[in-house]
Formats: sequence, structure tokens, C-alpha cells
Amino acid sequence: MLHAGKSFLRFLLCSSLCLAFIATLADPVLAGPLPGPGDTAPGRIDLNAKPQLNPSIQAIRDSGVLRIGIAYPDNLPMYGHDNEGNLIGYDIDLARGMAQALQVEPIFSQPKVTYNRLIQLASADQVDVAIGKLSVTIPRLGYAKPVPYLNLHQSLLINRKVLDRISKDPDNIGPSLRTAPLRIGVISGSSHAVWGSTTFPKASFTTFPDWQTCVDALINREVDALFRDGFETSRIVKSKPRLALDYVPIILKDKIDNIAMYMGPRMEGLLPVAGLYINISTGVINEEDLFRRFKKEMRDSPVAMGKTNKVHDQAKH
Amino acid sequence: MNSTSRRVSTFLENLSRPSYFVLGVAPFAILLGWLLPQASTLFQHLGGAGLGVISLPAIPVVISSVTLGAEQLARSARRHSRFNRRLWIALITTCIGATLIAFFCALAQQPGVLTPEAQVMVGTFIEEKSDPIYINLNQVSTGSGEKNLFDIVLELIPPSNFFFHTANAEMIKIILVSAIAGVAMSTIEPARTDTLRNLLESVNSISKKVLDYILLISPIVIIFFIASSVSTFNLGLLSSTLTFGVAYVSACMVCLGAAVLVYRWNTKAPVSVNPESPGSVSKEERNPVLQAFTSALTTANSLATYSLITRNLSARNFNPDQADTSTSINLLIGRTGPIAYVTVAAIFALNFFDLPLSLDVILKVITISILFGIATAGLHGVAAIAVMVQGIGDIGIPTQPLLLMLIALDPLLMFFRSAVSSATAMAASAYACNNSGMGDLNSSEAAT
Repeated sequence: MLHAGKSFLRFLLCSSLCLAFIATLADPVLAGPLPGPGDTAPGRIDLNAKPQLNPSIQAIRDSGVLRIGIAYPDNLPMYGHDNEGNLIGYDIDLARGMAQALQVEPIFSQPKVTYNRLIQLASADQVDVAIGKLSVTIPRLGYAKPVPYLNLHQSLLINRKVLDRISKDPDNIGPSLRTAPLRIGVISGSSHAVWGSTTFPKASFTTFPDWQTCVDALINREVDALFRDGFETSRIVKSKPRLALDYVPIILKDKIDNIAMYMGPRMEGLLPVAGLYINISTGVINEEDLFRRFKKEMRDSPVAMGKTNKVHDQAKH
Repeated sequence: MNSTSRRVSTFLENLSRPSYFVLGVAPFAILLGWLLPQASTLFQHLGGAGLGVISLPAIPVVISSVTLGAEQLARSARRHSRFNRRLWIALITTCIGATLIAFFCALAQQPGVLTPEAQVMVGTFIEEKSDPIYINLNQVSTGSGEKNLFDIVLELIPPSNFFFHTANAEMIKIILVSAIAGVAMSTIEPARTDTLRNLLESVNSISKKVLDYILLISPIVIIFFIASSVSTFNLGLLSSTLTFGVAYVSACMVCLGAAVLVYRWNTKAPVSVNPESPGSVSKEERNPVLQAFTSALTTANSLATYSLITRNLSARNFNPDQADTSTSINLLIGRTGPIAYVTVAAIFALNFFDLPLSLDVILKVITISILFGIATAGLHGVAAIAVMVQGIGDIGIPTQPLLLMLIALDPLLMFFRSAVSSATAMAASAYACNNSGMGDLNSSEAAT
């Protein structure tokens, strides 16, 4: 009886081994030996295949540098030069961090061109990334892909007397502004020059080469208001308090001004990298965050203090 | 009243005296605010609550005195026609006089012409205290429209719901309703209105008594008020806008001088100084306009001088009903302090924003000063400033920076606002009651 039991167990064991062998042969994964190099049979994975980098990243890795175009002129604390000529600022740190994440050296250049032209230079592969508090606009999307890192709002810095004439009712300032025949100053080639006519259809717009001349025009009463983002308009009155008596910033809550870095078509592969890097480093921040972060720096606007901007054309660091 | 409470009461009464205020209350309050800056919010709340309590009897006093006074005057209109006429003349002259005095003082001082350093200091203050304006550009217009001066007047004067006005301390409307009610009472036979008259007389007496009690706490309220102001006061702003303060205080002093002269011209009657006799005045009250001025100055409330004025006028053999009526109306409508304040603030703002001072602007400033000065009746502190600045905005002056600045300076200037209102109310009441002596009282009593 005992012998018969042992024979039965032996039979079971042998049967199991045979079944396992057959099953192994039928399963391509467990079936050995592993396919060798060059074995391209359908359904087979070449585990020794050479990895292919994202072409954009590969191109940057091959060159060993990330070419970063910065907007002109300097606009600290976002981007610009310190007294020793070193590039500093929120945008610069962001670009440097991204280059570090890509394991390449950042090369900065600051071409003396308009904001729109800087983005076109990215599309023409003259720079890998264009950065410098650049707003997202529909025409710009035609040239390069944006990766937003700031959520600001469109804003007016308006003469208090003009505002008083337009509307005394705080609840109706919005509708009154929209229909007022304001004289508004904007920076030439800026996103606000594009948005102006849609945001204020009844207003007349004058373009100026830079923010300093815009502010001068406002103080000289050549225009009633300046149109830019909420950070810049608020900063003017913070940096030059005397202006707070005559001018007041109005932030348009329903008019978003997304600030982004732009990648040219060849660098589209960088988009997810840049997006992830922003999310894990600074996050997409808004005006209030900027006000808090740059509380001290906002009081030292070079424009409002009447300083001339340093020209660092094509400066490399 | 036992001896302890009497002693406490005497002590508190003494604290209200100018000498105690200058040498005791004010230094103590300044020290308190300086040593405990972290408690400024608490002091502010306590001071604000105290000022509210001091204003507690205002509405019952106004309703009772104006209703009874209007009834008395209307019932014997012919006999009191002189008083009626003089009351109106006093009111109008006081209001116009205050605004003209303030206007010329402000013109002489040019309060809004600041040095560049002062402009930066004021600008820094405005910038620190104000945020950007956040709006929705695409919101649908609420259609409420903007209020012009005419709309504001219509909103300010015609009464609609007496209880609503009482609950909201809308003094001008309360006075109007009370006056109309008094005139209506006079047309009904006295027997049918006796109950209401008795009730109003009781309310008036009780309210005056309550006011006397409440005024005992006024030095404590002022201590809290000054202490909170010391820790939050912006000395830089004060020094930058010193011309504004100087212009206003000088206007107050000219008004005070005018009030003293008017009072003297109209009080030739001998004064009773018998302390035992009711309605008598103390020796200290022989210079009553100054007494009213300092009393309001040390309590920051013009209503605090109501009893002082009526008692003094009665002691000078003026008709007590007329004294009651004219005092309450002059204190609440002839508000020279706020009127002069609006004028000086308007000239300050016109200077400051480089706006031209044309004839139409001058007329507008005078009209607005009177209208919005009167509109502050029953309001204190920030609420009063907001009403005054609302009027100034109608001249085309940006109001936000002005409002912030005036609110910051108010802890200092509000004392003068109350003080000058009391002084001129006393002079105007004396003018109105003059030549309407006890004979009238007896006649009117006989008539009722």
C-alpha cells in the first residue's frame, strides 16, 4: 500500500514537470534562451537595443549647451544684471535650473530686439529657449510653443483724475473703462500692444520703445494710462511713492496675462521637461506670490527711479 | 449716592477739566500708548466703543427737544417769530461764516502746496495703505449710475421711515421728522397731546441725566483713544501735512474768537452764580464759550456740551425751551467743525492735485462744505471723514488718497472739530435766544 502511494506521488511529480516544460516552451517570455542582438522577429523585444534620446534633448546634449535668449532690456527682479554685470533674476534662475536638469551649460544672450522678435529668433533656432517675462499671445503661438510659469493679469496704471472723471462708482469702473476714450501707452512689440484694442476698444494707443519712455509719457500727461501686467504697474507706484498720489494701478481680474518661456519648433521635445521642471521647482505662481517674494525688490524699479538700463548685448555667462 | 461713588464721580468730573486733561489724562494716555503699542487695537476698540456710548443719548435728546421746541414755537408763532427768525439767521450765518473763515485761512496757508520731500512722504504713506484696484472689465454695469450733488442732497434730506432713520442715526432726517411732528402737535388741542408731551419731556430729562452720567466716563474713553492713536500715529505724515493741520486749527481759532464775540454781544443779562439754585452756572462757566470749547475738546464730542450750553443760557434768563431747541439744532445742524474741515480739506486737495480754483469751484467748495459738514451729524471718526470726502470728490478730486490721509490725521483734528462746533453752537444759540427772555416762557406756559 505504501509502495503504491509512493509510485502515485512519483507519477504526479513527473506529470507536473512535463506540463511545466510544455508550458515554458509555449510562453515566449519564459522561453529561453533570450533573443540575441539583431533578432527582430515580430513580438520579440531587443532588450539590448540602444536607447534613443528625445531629439531636442539629444541636440542640446550633443551641443553641450542650452542657448537661452533673454528679453531686452533688463527687468529686475525677473531678469537682468547686477552691479558686477552678472545675470540675475527669477527667470534666469529658472533657465539655469533647467539647463542643470538637462546636464548642459546655459549660455545666455540678450539680443537688442523686441519681445516678439525674440520669440521669432527661437522659432528660427537662434536660441533654444526665449525667456524674460514674455506673455502668451495668439500671434506668438504661431512661432513657438510656450511653457507658462507665471499667471499675471492685464493691468492699467491710470491717472487718478482721469479715473475720477470716467467713473466715481467703484462698482462700475470696469464697464466705464471699457467704453472710455482713453489715451493709453504701451511698449512697442509687446503683447499688450496686441491686446490693447480688444481690451479697450474705444481707447487710442501710443507705442513707446520701452517702459521708461512709457512712464515718462504718463508723467508728462501725453497718455492717460499705461497698459501692462499687474506686477509692473503696481511696481511703479511702489518704487516711486510720489506717483501713488497721481496714479493708481487697476488689475483686470478677468484678463489673464500668462507669462511663459518659449521653445522653437526644433525644441518642442523640451516642452514636457520644462513643464515638469517648473512644476517641481517653483510651480506656476501668481501676482500675489510675486508681490510677496519681491516685496523689497519692487521698491527698486530701475525705470521708476530714472536709472538707465545697462545694455548687455549678446552677453554670455 | 454713597461717599465712595461720590468721590469717584468727583474724580471723574475733575478729569474732564482742561487742566487735569492737559497735565493728567493726555500724558497718561500718551505714556500708555507708547508703553503698550501691542495693545493699540484693544485701545482702539475700547475708545470706539466709548465714543459710541457717549453718543447714546443723542437721538432721544434731539427727538424730544426738537419736537417740544417746534411745538412751542409753532403754537405761539407770532410771539416766537423773532426767535424763529434769529434761529434761522444764526444757523445760516454760522454755516456760511465757518466755511468762509476756513476758506480764507486755507487760502492764506496754501495747505496742499507741499515740498518734494513731503510729497514723497505722503506718497509713501498712500502707497503703503492702499492696494491696487481689482476689477472685472467685462462685468455687466449695475446701472446704479453715479450720484451727483443733487442726488446726494435728495438722499440726505427727505425723510421716509422715521424708525429706519433713528436706527441708522440719520440726524438731519430725525430733526426734520421731529420738527414736523412738533408743528403737527401744535395744531391739535393740547389736551390730546399732553400724554406725548409729558413723555417727551420725561425722555428729554432722562436723556440729559444719562448724558451727564455717561460723560463721566469720557476721560477714560479719551485715554483709550489717545493711547491707540499714539501707537499708530504717523508722525512723518503729520509733519508733511503740517500746513493742513495749521490751516484747520487756525480756522478753528478764528471761529472760536468770533463765537466769543457773538456770545458776549448777546448776553448782557446778569448771570446767576448761585450754586444752590438750579439752572445756575458756576464761576468757571463765566467764560462759557471757552468752557464749551475745552469741554468738547477734552471729550471729542460736541454733544457733551449740550447740558453746559442749555444750563448756561437758562441761567442768563433765556427761555429754556428756546435754549433747548436752539442748542440741539445748532449742535446738530450748525456743525462748524466739520464744515470748516471740509473746506480746508477741499482747498488742500485742490492745491495738492494742481486743480484750478475758479469761481465755480469756490462756490462748489462752499456749498459742499456746508452740505456735507451738516451730513456728518451723528457720525464719528472714519464714518464722518468718509461722508466729508464723498462731498469733496464731487469737485473732481481723486478721493482715495485724500481719504487715507484724512483718516490718518483725524485722531488729532477730531478734537478741534467737536470743540469748535460746541463753541459756535453756544454763540449761535445765545444769538437766537436773545431778546426772548423769561416773559416769553411765561406766556408760552400760559398758552399750553
